[in-house]
Amino acid sequence: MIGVRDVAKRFAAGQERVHALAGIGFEVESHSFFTLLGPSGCGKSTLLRCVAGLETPDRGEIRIGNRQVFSSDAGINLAPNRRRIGMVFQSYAIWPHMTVYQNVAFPLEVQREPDVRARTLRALDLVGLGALADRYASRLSGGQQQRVAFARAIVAEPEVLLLDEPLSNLDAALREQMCAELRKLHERVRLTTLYVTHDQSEALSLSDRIAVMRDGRFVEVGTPETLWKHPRTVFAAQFLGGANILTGEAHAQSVGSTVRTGFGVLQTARTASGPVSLFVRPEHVTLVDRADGPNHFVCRVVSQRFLGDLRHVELQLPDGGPVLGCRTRTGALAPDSAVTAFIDPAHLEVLQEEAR
Amino acid sequence: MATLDAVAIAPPRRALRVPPGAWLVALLVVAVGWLIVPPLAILVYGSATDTPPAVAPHFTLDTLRYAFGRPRIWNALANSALYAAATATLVLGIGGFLAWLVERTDSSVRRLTDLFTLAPILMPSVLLISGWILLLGPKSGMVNLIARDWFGRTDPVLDIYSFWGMVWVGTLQELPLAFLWLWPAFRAMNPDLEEAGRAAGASFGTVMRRITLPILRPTILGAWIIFFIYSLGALSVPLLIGLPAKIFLYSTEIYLAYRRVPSDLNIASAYSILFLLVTFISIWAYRRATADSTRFVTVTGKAYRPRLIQLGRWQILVTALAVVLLLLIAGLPLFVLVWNAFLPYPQAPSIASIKLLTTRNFAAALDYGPAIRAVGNSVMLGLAAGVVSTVLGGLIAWCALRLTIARRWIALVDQLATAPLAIPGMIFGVGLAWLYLVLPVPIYGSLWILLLAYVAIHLPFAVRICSSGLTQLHPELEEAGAVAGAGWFARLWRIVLRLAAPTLMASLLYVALRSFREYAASIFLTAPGTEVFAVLVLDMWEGGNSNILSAYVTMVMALISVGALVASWLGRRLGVQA
Repeated sequence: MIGVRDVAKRFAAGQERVHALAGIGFEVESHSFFTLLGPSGCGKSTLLRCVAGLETPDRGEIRIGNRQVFSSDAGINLAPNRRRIGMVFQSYAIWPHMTVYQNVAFPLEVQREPDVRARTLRALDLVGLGALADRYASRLSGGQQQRVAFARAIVAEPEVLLLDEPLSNLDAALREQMCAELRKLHERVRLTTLYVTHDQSEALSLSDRIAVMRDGRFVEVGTPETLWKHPRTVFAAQFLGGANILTGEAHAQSVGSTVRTGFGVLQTARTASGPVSLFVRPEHVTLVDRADGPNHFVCRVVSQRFLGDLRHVELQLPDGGPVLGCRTRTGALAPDSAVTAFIDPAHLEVLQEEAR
Repeated sequence: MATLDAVAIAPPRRALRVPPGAWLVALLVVAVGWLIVPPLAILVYGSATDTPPAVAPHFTLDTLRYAFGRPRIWNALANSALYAAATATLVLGIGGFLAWLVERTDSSVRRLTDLFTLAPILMPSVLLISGWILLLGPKSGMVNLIARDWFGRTDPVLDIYSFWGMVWVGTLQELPLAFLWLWPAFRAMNPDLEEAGRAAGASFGTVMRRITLPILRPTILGAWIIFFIYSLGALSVPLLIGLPAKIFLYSTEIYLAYRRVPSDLNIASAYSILFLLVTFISIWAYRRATADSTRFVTVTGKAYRPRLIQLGRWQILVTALAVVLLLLIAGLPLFVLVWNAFLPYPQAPSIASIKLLTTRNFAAALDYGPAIRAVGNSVMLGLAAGVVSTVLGGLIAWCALRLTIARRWIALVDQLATAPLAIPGMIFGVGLAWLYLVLPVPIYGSLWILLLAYVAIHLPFAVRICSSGLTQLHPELEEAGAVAGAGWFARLWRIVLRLAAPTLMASLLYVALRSFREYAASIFLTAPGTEVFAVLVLDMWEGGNSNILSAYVTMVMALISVGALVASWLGRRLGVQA
């Protein structure tokens, strides 16, 4: 369990002091996988490092398991080496002067734990590196270093596991593979995990819960599915991947509401009134044969990109206005040709502006 | 957050009121402060009194009035300024040319760079000067002997005992350092900037004049000031060449005031104060010259892959020039020293002289009073200074890179520790002599006072080497140790020390070698029983036989070479397995 309450930290940036963390509180349930997702500079790494004790917040409380590790009120600030944590760093931080075995055994040795050899070998087997135990760590590939770092982080059975963008240094194919493996490993060891990334697909596929961060604040917290399907904020909707956002004026109807937007009048299943932002993922915009009923629009093809499995088409009403992205399984379209697009009212979400 | 409050709270551990890092910084402030400040401050006291140390002081302005009331000292100052300016200009011209050749052209000189870095190690300045006196001495210098024996010239063709003789040797002495100083600047400069100039239609010369040199201006100006200070503070050339030639420099006057019987430390202090003043003004000028260097693109950390200028038909000429320079710096003096070591008296190489070759000089050198003891003292002091400076320098560099507390104090320590870079060793010599004659700490006349001097003088190098090495260590390597449960000592011992071992070894070695050749401070601090090698060589010139001296330094050079080889082998063994 990780409990964070009202943690704030400011950095001096030139003359002024900038909020890195603006009073954040959250809780990670035992054995679950919690991800901090956000663009660079949003404070996600700072937050993780505060939990690790590598940085000291200006105020707040942090609890790991049943121990308070930081409290500005009580004047508690445990050193990182007393927090019983495991951490994987962005650079892996594998000590190049030690072998794989020595790297992984290090936490057990310095914490004076029993059974160093057996436990180290077990951790190495878990990540599939048993055969490389005596290799010097600097002679490993990126993926292998990653595994050593993971084995070293879990070998002492820490209370929590902290992962700071561990996959960002790997190439795309390896990243996907390690991502799948990481999830499998998590399901086996069930450590309470706090994960930091700027990559939404990592966050979606690994996490039990995700916190989307911006400017030192949580914008939205939820399960991957909720955040993907029903985001409540423009920022979260866009950060999780290619969202169409349309602004307009909503009028509540008996069922759902109608919204007047730059893309014409749209019907949504949600109830709303007043100025709103609408959101629909490109895969929920489909091309159909005939304009038949509400939310059907005859559009002009502005541009198109071939993505492999799908084709991304950008559409616009014949008389201009906002551009709508559409992901569909269609053949190449003639430039400027006219097509009919359908926006499914069930997938047209009404967003709220996030508090800034 | 209800669950948070519900769980049992483990007994809170109070954080230490004073973090361990603060103790370390406090310790460094005291240690470095003690090394640097009192020896300089005591000079003010010395020049404001006319009583010798450890006597009830009599405060007066007479010392200053007397010291600066004579035209002789102002003459010496003018000579010094002229000498330093000429040397700094020459050394930068040649050093800059070499650095440019090595870094920016396809010259085959590139392969000789290691030799340039090795030369000053194998040729301490007293040896270089000795070699050049044996080459260009008016009566027994080899060049003049050859001119006499082979070409029948009666008067010396080249006389080392002249102003330009001094500048010549002074330049050769600083050249390797100038090269090492300018090399990184050329390396860090983005060649795109020059190529953009060429693309815009400028000729090679125009690009050089309007782009390259202006970009390098702060570096060159800064380096000029540093080498000006170095030459101003040099003592070996003024003593070995200037004194016999009756050319008195300012540093000579300080030495003479000290050597006078009875020794006049008050006058020496007064002279030193003015020297220190000049130094501080120069540092200020240096800071100004390099202050806005961020405006100049040379100082980015980014490594460029420089495109090399094709020398084409200039290749041979340029290579020949570099080889000649190398010969002048190391080859010729080395040869003449070894040659003389095997001869009973100086003479030009000839068939007849080969029959005279003897090893008797070596036996005589070993018999020469403190010869062996001096080398022993120097080796011991060098190693001790290397260890102490590296420990201090490593800790300072680590604090500056990693600690987030007490930043102002760390900056202060850093500045104090790098200040001796611009303070002549001689000043430390005079200051330390005063200080420990006054203080009731009985280390005057012992090896300890020399150790203090060597550590203070070489601390800047240790800090720089350690800090460039520690910068390479990713901070996450240490943080990984912390989250693995290792306390600060285990992290320092099991991670930082192991990874930084090659750097620390390099720092230790560098300081040891520089201490071994140090003479400017030592000359004020040695006593019977605590002789050191470089000072002994100076003494041997005053009263000894130059052939025995040659035999002595030949043996010592062989010793240093073996030592350097062993050390570099050790360094490689300690290196990270990669």
